[in-house]
Amino acid sequence: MSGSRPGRPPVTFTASRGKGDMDGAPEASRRRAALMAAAQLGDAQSYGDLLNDVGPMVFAFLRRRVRDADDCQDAYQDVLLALHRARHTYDPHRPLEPWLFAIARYVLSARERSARRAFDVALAEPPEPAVAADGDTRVRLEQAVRDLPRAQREAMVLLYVDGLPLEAAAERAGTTTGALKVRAHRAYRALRRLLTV
Amino acid sequence: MRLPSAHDSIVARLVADVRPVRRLWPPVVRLAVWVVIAATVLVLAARVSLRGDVAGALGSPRYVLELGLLAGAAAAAAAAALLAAIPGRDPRPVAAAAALLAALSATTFLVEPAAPGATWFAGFRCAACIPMFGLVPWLALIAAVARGAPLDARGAGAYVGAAAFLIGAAAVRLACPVDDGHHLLVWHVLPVVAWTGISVLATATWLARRAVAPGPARS
Repeated sequence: MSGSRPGRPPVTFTASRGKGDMDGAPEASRRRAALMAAAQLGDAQSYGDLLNDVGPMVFAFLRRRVRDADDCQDAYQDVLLALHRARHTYDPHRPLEPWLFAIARYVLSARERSARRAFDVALAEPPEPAVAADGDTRVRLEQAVRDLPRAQREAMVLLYVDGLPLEAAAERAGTTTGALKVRAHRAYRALRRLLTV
Repeated sequence: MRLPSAHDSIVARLVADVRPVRRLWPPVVRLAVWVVIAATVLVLAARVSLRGDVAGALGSPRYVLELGLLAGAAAAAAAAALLAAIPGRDPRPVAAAAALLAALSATTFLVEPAAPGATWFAGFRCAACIPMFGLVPWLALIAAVARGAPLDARGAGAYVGAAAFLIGAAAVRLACPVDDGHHLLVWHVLPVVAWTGISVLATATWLARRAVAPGPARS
């Protein structure tokens, strides 16, 4: 994906000339701007090169902000998708990085907001009437809970099994109420996905 | 740095989907287009003006200052809206300039002397005309912002609303025959605030649906 295709004209780093905003920018930054400019014109090879180039940078950015590894991977995919959808808004006369990290920050905050909202809705819903689970369902449920990451399993147990209030559960888990909500929501989604397959 | 296991597959998917895209025009060019639309609305308002002395009033420095501040605030708010549609561009300094100009405009209304003709009917007429004159600039700016990728839908909605309805207020200032300070504050300024609030609600909901990042609940 990152290698050059034989016969393909090289991407030249001239997108910023004469505009001032990219003057003095590092070579790598100018190269990314040129790759994105080519990608906007439909050059698939340049686009692949760009995504391979910015991938580690984006992932490092997310790793510093998202503790859960699975969630970090999901966020990474969301950032690349958002970059793809918003690529027409990039101005090649400016550095790519502020544009890219604005999108990454937005994706993180959107995910957090969405998870909290969904969890609040789940908390507000009345509990479903208990049903007698058959043996197969019980086994699948136990297995699914065991398969949850430790932090998510802990949130699930504290809130749904022990029935602790949110603040008390967060204190017990040594985290904030917001973070615990997010963990429990992820656990809830993971279980729902596993049990509806 | 080790990349996620899905990196190669997602890159392959995105690369396979890459098509030429039409780049956004620079914000200055897009702002110029919007200013032309707004200026057309102002010219129309001057043509249908109920005040018989528009030409004479335009010779008054205070009147011209009021119009200039309103139009300047609207243009700055429109610039903020267009910047808000581009990731990584900070609209806040321009938005602060818009707020300052709008506040100065309201201050000039405050020092307007009392004048005859400030009836309730005239007030309702002005309040109703502001959204009418602001509608086309609002639609044009919404379309321009939606073409981009606004990351702060509420902020973008506020800037769009402020820009459009400040132009509505400038148009009504051209058309309204009443120069009374209280009339201007109550029936010209407050509707702008109210319609900007409505624009935030309407635009934010719509723009949020077009968000570039779906988030986990919608994925």
